[in-house]
Amino acid sequence: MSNPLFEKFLQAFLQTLTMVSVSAVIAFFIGLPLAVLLVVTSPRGIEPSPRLYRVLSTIVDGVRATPFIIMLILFIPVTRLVIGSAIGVPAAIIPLTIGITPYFARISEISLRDVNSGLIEAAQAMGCGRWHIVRHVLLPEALPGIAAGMTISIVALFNTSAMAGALGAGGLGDLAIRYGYQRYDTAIMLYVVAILFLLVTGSQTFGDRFVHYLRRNR
Amino acid sequence: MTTSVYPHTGLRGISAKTQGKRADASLHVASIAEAHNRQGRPQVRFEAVSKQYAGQLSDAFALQDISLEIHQGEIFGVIGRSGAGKSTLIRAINRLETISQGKLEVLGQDVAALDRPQLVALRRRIGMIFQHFNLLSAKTVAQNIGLPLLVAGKPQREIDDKVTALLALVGLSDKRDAYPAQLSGGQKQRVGIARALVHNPDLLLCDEATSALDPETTQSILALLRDINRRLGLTIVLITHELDVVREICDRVAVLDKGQIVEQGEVWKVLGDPHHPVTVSLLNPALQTLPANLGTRLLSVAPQGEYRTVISLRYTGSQSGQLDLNQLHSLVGSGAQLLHGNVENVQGYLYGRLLITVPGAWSPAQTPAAPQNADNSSQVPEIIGYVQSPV
Repeated sequence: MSNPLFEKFLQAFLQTLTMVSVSAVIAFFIGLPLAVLLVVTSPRGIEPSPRLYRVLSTIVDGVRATPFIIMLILFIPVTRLVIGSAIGVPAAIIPLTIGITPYFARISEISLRDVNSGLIEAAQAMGCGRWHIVRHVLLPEALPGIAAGMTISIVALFNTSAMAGALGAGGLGDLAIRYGYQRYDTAIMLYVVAILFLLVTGSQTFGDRFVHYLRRNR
Repeated sequence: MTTSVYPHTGLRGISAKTQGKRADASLHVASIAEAHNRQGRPQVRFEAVSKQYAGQLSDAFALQDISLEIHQGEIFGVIGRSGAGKSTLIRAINRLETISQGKLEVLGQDVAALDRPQLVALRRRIGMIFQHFNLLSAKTVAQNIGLPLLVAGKPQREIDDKVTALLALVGLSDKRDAYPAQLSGGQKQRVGIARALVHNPDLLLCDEATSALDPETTQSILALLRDINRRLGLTIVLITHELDVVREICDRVAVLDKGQIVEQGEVWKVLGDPHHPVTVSLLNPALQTLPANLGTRLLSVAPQGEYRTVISLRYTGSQSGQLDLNQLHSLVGSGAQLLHGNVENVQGYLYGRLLITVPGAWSPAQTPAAPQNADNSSQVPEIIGYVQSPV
């Protein structure tokens, strides 16, 4: 592998890593409260609010129904407003985050909903308020499931970030398309796929280990 | 969060023990002083309470016209089959379930009228333990026990001291930093009890607290509850489907069936002289059923030839704790043979049933002995059938 090509790989690798990690962090901090809100306001939640639940639920599903490539285009005005530009890595992070957040929120919602209702009842009986129940019961008990959900979301982000090349954000996916598809350099395409494969399996293994660690005493 | 002050040395157990004793003693004194102020007023009062769920075809009653009073310092049992409404009844007390009609007063407060802060304040005076323990798997034993204090905003030092005292009380001082998954069922319930006692409650609700435990562990948990009841003067309300639990520790019992109380009173009275078929069916089968070899041979009318009469003798409430055999003999007459028998002692009262056969015809009038005895126990002989001799 020649030196300039190696630099291209390195650059693409770092771009992908930046997009995935920044989007994942933002998705975590928006998606988790969203998931908690969905569980708490659901008809059988600790503070049922059918209207709010329906609104949130509709937004979440609406975003999830939109194909990512459409979202890239749809959110160009928003990206311009927030980032000041519609191209580049920061510009790609906006649609990536918006795309993954509802996905992560739904997965976390399932884990939160799975928390034994007896535990919530016990917390209520001991005089816990709603916030206490979220803080001391729902979140700690659902944590392993939430961590597993985050792992899945990160893997999905590697996938969608490949499309961010369309916004000039570069990344491994972009490299593969330009060299592999447009220049018929299949070898580079396969290298990229191999790197992505390593990244994904690495993330998954790390995630699994972390979940295992969280469950060590349970 | 909470970490043990003491490292894993032998010292830890000793100091935990002494601390426990000290805190325990102060607990006791406080509760006696409080008990004085509370005398006379029922801790829990159901007044024509009903609860119904709006159904599609008809409104189903979970509770119907429940009236009962639970007094300071007693252990009150509610027994019934599953689906009888026990769970709804006990959850109404701390408003985990709301009631539809009637009035429910707990610790002098109208439960339905409380706003959120008042409800939280009331719940902090009521401990609750559960069939499946409901301990938080992500927290240690100490964190589980201390949680009610933590959410009440108590300082960590106070929480630690209280946890240490309660761990000593329930006999789990060495499990402070264990996680619930590392404990046995009985140990989990002990943690549940410690957690329920952390606010020095006036009332303890037990929701099938021993139903998930083996008989031996059940005994130890019941003994612990009895001990807490006596030492702290704590009023206990428990629901169960196990008659043994009621027999073991309850002072008074209510029998619940299809959302209604069909019988209530002191345990020895209700168990010894049940009036309602549901109570009868909940009772020890030995008191109800006939020995297997007798059932098929029992005739409803006296047969031709030689035969024996089978008498069922139920007796209740002999406070002497003894069954006078002489008296029994004079009641049934000569030639009597004992076929099957069962004697139970509840709260110092004897009750049970004997199956006796006598030769030939028999009627209660044929013996001069009075069925009502001097010590107010009653013996109720009843002819249940006839068998061809020999038995």
